[in-house]
Amino acid sequence: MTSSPPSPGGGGRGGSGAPALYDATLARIHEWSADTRSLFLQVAGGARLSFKPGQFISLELPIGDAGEPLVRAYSLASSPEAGGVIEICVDRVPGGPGSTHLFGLAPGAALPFKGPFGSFCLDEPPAAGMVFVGDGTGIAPIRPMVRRALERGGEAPIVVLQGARSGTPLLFADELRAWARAHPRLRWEPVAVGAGPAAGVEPPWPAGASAEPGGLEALVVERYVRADAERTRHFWICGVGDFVRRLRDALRGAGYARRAVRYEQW
Amino acid sequence: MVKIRVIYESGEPERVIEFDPREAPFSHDGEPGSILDVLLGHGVHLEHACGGKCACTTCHVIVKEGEASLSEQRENEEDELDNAPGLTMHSRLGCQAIVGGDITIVIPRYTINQVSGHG
Repeated sequence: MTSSPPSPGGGGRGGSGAPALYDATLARIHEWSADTRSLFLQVAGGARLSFKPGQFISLELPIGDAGEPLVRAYSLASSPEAGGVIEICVDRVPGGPGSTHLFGLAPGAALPFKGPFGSFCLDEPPAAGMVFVGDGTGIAPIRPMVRRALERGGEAPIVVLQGARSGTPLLFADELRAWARAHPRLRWEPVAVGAGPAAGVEPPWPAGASAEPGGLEALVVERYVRADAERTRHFWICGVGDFVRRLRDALRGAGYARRAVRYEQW
Repeated sequence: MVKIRVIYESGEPERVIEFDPREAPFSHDGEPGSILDVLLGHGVHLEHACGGKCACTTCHVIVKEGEASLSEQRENEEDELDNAPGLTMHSRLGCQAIVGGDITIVIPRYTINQVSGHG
């Protein structure tokens, strides 16, 4: 710990127990919509970041208070095995200093970060059924977790409930659909939250996608709390807002083990 | 005025901050009026890898005096603290513990979420 702000160092410089600080540059931008982007970061020196699926990095943006960088955490949407370029998903937050700064960057910009961090992850999949609930960009940390679960093999069923609000894109839909086709134990269910996709945006909503006015919360409670007495499933829940904590409480209150209900609320 | 005394396990010189809780928030991060918010707003660094959103344990502090002056712990803080190394009965997350009176805290040397030299 130091009382002075850290300065960017070489890729992966650590030292005296402080978190490693990586130099990285913005290599590429993928625009999912006007307000949602994937940013691809190239770690300096061709270094490869070692992390567990589901973990996040902390960008240190040069726009903070009192000489401190502004720290903004973003889940890694890419897999540890994917190589030296890592991917994060960014929503534009009106008036938000961090996302406004990030949306103004062009390829080549410096993006130093620390990490990886966080315990909302899946390293070794459990033998029991797995349910992943991701709302909006909350699918980002879930993507590498599902990939890890599939790669490790086994027969446990995997369900991915992916929520998207009216007018917002369904991130990684093509890939998740392809995984579900290739792996019969994976069920991918896009859930149109609220009024469904807006005009002008054409997410690849498959036939039979759930339209849930109550959103993911109502669907999960109905299916995994009310519909049966099975309580061995493991959950990973991620998204923006209080629905994450309400789901945590509903599932734990219904008898699922505390440590089997993992969540990350943004 | 309320006082926070900050002691570093690493042996760095301690810091003392005096502030008026009614003026919170003092920074962009953590619950307004939390230990993290106050420290950052007064030029005292405290790690907060998740941006002060109770998603990691890098702002773990140990409360030495004045524990009753802090807001009560909620379930999400307890869940995260489970992962903190060196967890004690007096551990709190700086981003969640809101300061209502004088306290003394110790900043531990390491946290489990910190890595030191990948790649």
